[in-house]
Amino acid sequence: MTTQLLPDTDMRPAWPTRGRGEFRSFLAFARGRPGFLLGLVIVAITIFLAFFGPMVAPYPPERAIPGAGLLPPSAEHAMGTDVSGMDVFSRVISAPRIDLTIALSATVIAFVGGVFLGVVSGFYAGSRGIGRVASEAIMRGADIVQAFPVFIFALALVGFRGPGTENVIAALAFLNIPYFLRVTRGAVFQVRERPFVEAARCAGNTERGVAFAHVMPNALGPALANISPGIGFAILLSAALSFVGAGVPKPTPEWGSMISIGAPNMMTGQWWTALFPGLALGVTVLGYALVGDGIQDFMDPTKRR
Amino acid sequence: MALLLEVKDVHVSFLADAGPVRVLNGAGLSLRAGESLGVVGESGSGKTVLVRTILGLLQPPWQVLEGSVIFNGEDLLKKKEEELRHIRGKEIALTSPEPRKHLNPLLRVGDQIANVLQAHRDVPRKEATQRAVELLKSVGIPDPHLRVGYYPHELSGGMCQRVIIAMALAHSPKLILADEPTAGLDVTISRQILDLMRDLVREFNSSLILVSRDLGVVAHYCQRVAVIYAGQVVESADVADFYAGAAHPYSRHLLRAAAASRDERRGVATRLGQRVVFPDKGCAFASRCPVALPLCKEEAPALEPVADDHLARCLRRAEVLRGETRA
Repeated sequence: MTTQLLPDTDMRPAWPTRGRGEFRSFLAFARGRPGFLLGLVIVAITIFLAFFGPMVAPYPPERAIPGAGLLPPSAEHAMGTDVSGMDVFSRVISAPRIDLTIALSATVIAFVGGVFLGVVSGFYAGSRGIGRVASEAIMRGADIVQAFPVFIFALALVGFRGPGTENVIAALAFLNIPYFLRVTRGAVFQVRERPFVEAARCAGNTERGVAFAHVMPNALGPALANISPGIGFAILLSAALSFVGAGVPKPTPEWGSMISIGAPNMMTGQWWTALFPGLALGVTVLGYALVGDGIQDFMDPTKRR
Repeated sequence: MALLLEVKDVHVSFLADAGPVRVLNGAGLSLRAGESLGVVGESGSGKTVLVRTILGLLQPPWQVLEGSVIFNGEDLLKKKEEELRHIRGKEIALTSPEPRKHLNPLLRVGDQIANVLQAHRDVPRKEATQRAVELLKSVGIPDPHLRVGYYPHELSGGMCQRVIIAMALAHSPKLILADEPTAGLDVTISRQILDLMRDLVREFNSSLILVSRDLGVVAHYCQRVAVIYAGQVVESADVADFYAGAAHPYSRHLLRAAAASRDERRGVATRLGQRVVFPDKGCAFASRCPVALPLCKEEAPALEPVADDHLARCLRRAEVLRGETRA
């Protein structure tokens, strides 16, 4: 018998294996997942506000209106005014610019760095030579970073480099790296034992190719799931830094500092100053969490249907 | 014909917590170019470990203690990882008993085949995908131009095995190591896969080592057979000679067990669940052997000729071959 004969078919690959095919299946995936769509909407709104928030705000977000302190929500001020007479609604929708810049960039930097270091330390753990040294060095470094109380460490970092958005981002990214590193390393330990990894080695791939083309994509799940809490954590920590004066300078609209400024007013009955930025923060974190979950499912083709 | 592969006296241990377990105890085999060799033996006898040793895939806690694997005149066990990389997938390819697990679940099969091609050759992506379509076609997958875009979970087990074979053939390797290629497939698909492998091995001018537990499969698809027991090759012969008369009592055991299952008669009682422990002295099979002599527990036999091109590791090989014993 010779090779099984098949009818002559069009031999051009009908399915683009990269690019447009992925986008099409992404659309099909998003349809029929209301939670994911809601998350996408929230993320889209926050991104829109990050660009245009201050322009669509009814009042300048950083200017106090004389004699209009602590007004309750009304037709004029939808979310009332704060203690110094700034319009809360305008400030709430202007805040994403600074909050998203800080939280997103810090988390993305931490994700990329943490995943890279996690793959290296997980993949080469237990091997011989330079790989093992690198793996151990990475883990001890993470131990040291995590041994300090987070807030004190952030404070020290910002204090060392001086306040300013970039320094807050750098501090938050640095502090978040060990979390992404550890979850990725754990996932790599499981993935590297799976048979397709040996198959990839068998096909003659380099160790680096095996680690980053075959192991890493299969070990991304936990790190992706960590993104949304990571963003929440970053926003909260940056708020804490602003509270002690080491973060974003005061009048800048920022949810965290608005909450901390508004907290004393809540005790005396002016609930609106802290509640609305708190809600905005909560909804934003929820939106990113939903998108994070959806992306995690999309990464696994067996869960796409 | 020249020898393509010669495995000599390979010893491999598994370092367990309780101490090292000897898995291969001087296993050896040889293969001429263009030949198909069947490797048979019970579970745990070391068939898979032997195949993985050839490719240098064993990592701690596995330990290769001694021996040599001469492929094309070079000892693979002495080569560095980087040199082995250029042989794996290009000169020697491996297929797996669990095809689905050996495919990356996140990559379309076309991309995985392209990955194999690009591991050894500078091929543009588009051309590699085109070649993947051709390879899928040659392993008998219908509508290959559609299937390149499928994920492994969208294919059946038999289809996955075909994809694995396509990947193995991507560089027309000189040697294909097929580790139980039909495990988990039904008999119809098994037959198709084995026919396909035989035809492709012929077409690509490769040699084949077929690891199997099925003596019938080996009889049908191989020219030579090697029986492995407790990490040693106990008999090696031409398929025709082997089935006409095996010279090792263990081989006879296997043959009778195969015949018994076919005739639905109870064969020789096999002691299930018993781990084969390699003895410090004497023949590894002596404790189970029906024709063992007192000497067998003292003196370890070597793999020695019993007839033309027929080797057996038994002191009484000549008697067993002539059928003078009840083995």
